[in-house]
Amino acid sequence: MNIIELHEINKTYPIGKDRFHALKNVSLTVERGEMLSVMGASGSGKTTLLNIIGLLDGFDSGEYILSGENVTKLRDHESANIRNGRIGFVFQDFCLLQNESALFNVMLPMYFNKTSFWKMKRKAAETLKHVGLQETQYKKPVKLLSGGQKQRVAIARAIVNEPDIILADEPSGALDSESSRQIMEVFKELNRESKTVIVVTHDETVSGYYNRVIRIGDGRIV
Amino acid sequence: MLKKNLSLIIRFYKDAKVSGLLLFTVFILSQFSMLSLIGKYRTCMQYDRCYKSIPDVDRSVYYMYGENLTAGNDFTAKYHEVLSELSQNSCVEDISCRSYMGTVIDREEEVNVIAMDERLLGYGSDTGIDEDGHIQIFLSPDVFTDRSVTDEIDLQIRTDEQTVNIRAVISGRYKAAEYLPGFNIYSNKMDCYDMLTEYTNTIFVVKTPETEKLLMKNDMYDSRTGFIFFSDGSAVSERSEVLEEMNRSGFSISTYDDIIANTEYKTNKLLEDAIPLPLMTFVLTFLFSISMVVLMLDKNMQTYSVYYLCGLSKKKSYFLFLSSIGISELLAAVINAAITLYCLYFPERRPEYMQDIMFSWNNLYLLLVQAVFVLMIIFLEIVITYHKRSFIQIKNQELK
Ligand SMILES: Nc1ncnc2c1ncn2[C@@H]1O[C@H](COP(=O)(O)OP(=O)(O)OP(=O)(O)O)[C@@H](O)[C@H]1O
Ligand SMILES: [Mg+2]
Repeated sequence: MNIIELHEINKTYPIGKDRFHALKNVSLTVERGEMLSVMGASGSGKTTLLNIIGLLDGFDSGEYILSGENVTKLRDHESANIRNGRIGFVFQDFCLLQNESALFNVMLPMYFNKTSFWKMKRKAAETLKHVGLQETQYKKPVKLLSGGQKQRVAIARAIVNEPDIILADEPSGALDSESSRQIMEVFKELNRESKTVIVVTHDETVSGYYNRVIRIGDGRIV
Repeated sequence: MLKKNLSLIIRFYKDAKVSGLLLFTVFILSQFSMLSLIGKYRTCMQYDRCYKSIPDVDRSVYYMYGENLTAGNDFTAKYHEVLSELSQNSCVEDISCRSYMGTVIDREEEVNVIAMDERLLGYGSDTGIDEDGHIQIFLSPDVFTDRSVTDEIDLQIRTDEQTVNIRAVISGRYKAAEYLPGFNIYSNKMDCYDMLTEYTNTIFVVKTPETEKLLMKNDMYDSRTGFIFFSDGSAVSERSEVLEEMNRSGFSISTYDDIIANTEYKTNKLLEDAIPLPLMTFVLTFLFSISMVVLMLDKNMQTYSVYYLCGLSKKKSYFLFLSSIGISELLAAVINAAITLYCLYFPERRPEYMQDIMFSWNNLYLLLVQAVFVLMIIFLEIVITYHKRSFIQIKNQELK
């Protein structure tokens, strides 16, 4: 069963008076439980594609079906609900609240759903343990953690609401090779737990982790 | 849900503690300067209102007899004679002035006793005496504060001639800023500010033949100034005849229209002096608070973009922004409401510079209106600074 179906997606960015065509008629289907890699040269449109899949950005034309539901035109709170519960994001630059503790960062998605206030902390701690962050690091401000630790916090935040889909934009881009390998292991483990994982990467050496690799060049899937 | 929201609202100030405190202070100042502004205006208007609330004052004139207010005693006999002649006149309904009775000793303090016509007091029965034969007294705000209205009380009133013991009933107490004719100023540009005063340390009784008998007072008129009320429907020509007659016998006269015109002139001047400072404070603090809000929003932009990523809808982030700042505004309003209540309940305890600021229950309503207005502006600011910016834009900005 297809969890993601993109049909003929076009995306342009305004540049001054002109528009830059970043995605050109991109169609893509992803099956539930796949572990997919998106590769391509810098500026080819990988991040753009991932942002659209994650409902972080809109598109000009085309159709997007998520788990059988047409999500092409959603209202503000509907797309917020999907971001909150059904999709988890991991970024190269972490996108964490640097002054807050790891625990709070992981609790954050639960602030926006119905998890009771008292359960949030326990669930966040469990999730951090699951991604392999040492307990001594939970209460430190995130800015004091290493890159690999930060990325574990980011992954914990992405999965704490138990989404079906994990989107990662160059998750190991800011990490050394050992940390990268460990982070990839975490993703692989999540995929074994039947989550659909899409990872944007430059790194050809980790292609062994993926069921499928798609390549983007100049806004098209090649 | 409430706990989560509250926790996020408090977190709004976490990265902006100093600006948050500043914003809070500015909100307090801005509201306070608004209340001072309106309070000063209210004080001015209050004189006018108290004057106009004297029944039939629009057919009265205000007079002074003699060259000045401290002319010698030999005047008195003549003064009374002239007044009683005047009162014979068919178009003169009433002559109203103050009569000074003497003093009461209350715990070693001397309290003045003053008699005035019922229409000037605004209270009292026709006789000034209740059914049980007790004389009705009305208190200035600061007198006998430990007693309440309807209490009975024994008074020993000392006048120049004798001491009388009477049983009185407290029939009313004036509130702050209930101004009464003071009868101690006359000018050729007579206005309400000259005429009215806020009495302190004074007991009032209604001036009637009955009370004067009870108080064994012989002289009807003490003050050299007073009102002459013309009877309703008396002809203009008749009235001006009386006025001419008064002029000839040594009276100075201000008509109702004179007083109103002079008051308007004086009010404008007073407001011109009193308004600019609070107005400027109000405008400056207002503008400052608006720019502070932009700053605070900006400081929280990154945080909110992470919230957005984690599933906070735009609409709800407006709500959180608005509540976060609104809480400061409301807290400031609560403080100003407390100041208002304090000044309403303990008017004598307010500091010197607040004496000419009139507080009222209306302030609470005003604070609410201002809070709503400010929140509307803040909402606009939120929409302007946040609405058009997408998550991607904010994130990219961070990377730069
Ligand atoms: N907000 C934007 N405004 C204008 N142009 C943009 C914007 N975002 C991306 N682009 C352009 O769209 C194209 C695709 O960008 P995108 O970020 O998707 O590339 P990418 O494949 O993720 O590149 P990289 O590997 O460097 O991250 C690029 O040419 C970029 O310059
Ligand atoms: Mg990219």
